Amino acid sequence: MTDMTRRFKNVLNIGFNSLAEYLHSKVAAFFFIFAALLIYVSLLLGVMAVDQEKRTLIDFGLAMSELSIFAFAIFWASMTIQKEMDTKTIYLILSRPVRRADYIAGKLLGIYLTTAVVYLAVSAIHLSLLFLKGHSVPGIYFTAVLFSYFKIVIISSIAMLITSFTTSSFSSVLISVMVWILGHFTSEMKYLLDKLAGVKLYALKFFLFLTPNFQLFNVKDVLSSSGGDFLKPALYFVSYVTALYFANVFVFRKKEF
Amino acid sequence: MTEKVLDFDSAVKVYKKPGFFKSRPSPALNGVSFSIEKAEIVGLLGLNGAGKTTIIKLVCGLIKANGGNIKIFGKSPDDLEVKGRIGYLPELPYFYPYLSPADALLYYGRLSGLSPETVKTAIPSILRKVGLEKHTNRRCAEFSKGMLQRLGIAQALLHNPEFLVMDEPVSGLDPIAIKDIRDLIISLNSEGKTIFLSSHSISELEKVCGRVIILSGGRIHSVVQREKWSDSGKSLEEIFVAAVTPDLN
Repeated sequence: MTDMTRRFKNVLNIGFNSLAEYLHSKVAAFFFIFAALLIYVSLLLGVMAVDQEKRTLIDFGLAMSELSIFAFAIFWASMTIQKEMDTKTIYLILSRPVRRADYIAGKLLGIYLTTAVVYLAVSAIHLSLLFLKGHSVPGIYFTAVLFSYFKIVIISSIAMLITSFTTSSFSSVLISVMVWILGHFTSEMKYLLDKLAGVKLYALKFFLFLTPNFQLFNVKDVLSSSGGDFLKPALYFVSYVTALYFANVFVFRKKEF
Repeated sequence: MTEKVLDFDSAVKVYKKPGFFKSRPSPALNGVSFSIEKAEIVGLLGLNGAGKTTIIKLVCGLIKANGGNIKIFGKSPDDLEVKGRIGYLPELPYFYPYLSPADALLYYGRLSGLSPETVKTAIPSILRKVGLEKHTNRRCAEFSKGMLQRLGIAQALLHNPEFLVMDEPVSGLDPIAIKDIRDLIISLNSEGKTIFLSSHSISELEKVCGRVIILSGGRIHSVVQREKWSDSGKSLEEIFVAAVTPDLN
């Protein structure tokens, strides 16, 4: 077995084990029920919206799905390594011929797979409700779900990185929520740049450079501004997630247990 | 010529304890030197905070030394080939509660570089060796502390390592389990495996070790050969108490 094959197998092994761990936990079930309830609320709102029922049902359902998966993702990403450290499971893994970079890749893969599974389940409920109400689903729906998932992948990688710096999972969750909010206001921050000068300008520029631009993943904006050019957000996603992986590895390499 | 399995040369470890503004240094090991040769059973003895677990973590590559030199089979503890030759049992091992012992061993065996077929073939004999053959289909959530410890030993033995590192292998176990684990350690050593274990149980170390390293305040106080407690009429406990008493006063 070549070194690369072995490393790849280690990543898959850790990733799928993490997926199994999450799916066996009660927390995954809790977030799933939470998401289903929120989608049900969108159904009620749709009824109240009368002639705008379809639009309300789709928009609100998508937003609620994203919000619940976001909560789940940052919770798990902040807890995952901390839990393995508390239970010393990490000792059994890192004392074996497993590179720390592969361990991080495996844990990230586990979170991405779990959030994908939960997202698929939640979207299936949402779609079922839409069909039950007799509404057709626009093709862009699936692109919107995919782009929303990209945001989830980015924020979970960020939450895992923050956990390496902070002393508690709670502070990591809190900071991740702030990053999530800021990431949706990057154009407003860019507007602020025009009002600043000197050190403040460079500080905000640097801050903007680090903050993920979640507005890029707003499908309606992509359609209206660039006529449906999805390549830019896709490239942004790949580069940002790759950079976050290396940042996670850099910090984790120095970590002691 | 005997083969050196582990070699500590003036190893220093200083932990950083987080402070309000900056971290504070907390020395754990101060110039520790010793070596272990092939097929030896060597014990680590010391009071809480003496540096036993730090030494074991350094051996397993979980932490890095700030000074000195550590070699295992002549290489760095971070070397992946070296890690494949070590079996490690941490103190109070934890296993995912939803897994059966066979599933847990399959997971760790694959991480040790074994193929799923090899692990599946090895599982029955390993479980028999540690006395868990009747519990193959139970989940780890149903296991007692002693059973988890036995499973911990099984995962450490799975890839047939040459060097076994055990942190408190009999901690909190009942007398039957302690005897079983002691017999297992002796039998593994008779197969040629080198064993390095830390324990608070002086009587256990006395029964299995050929040599015991007494640690005190992050330094090696003394290295006691078996002859010293088996021939001189002085028990290992008496030797240990005499060694660490000045530190307590």
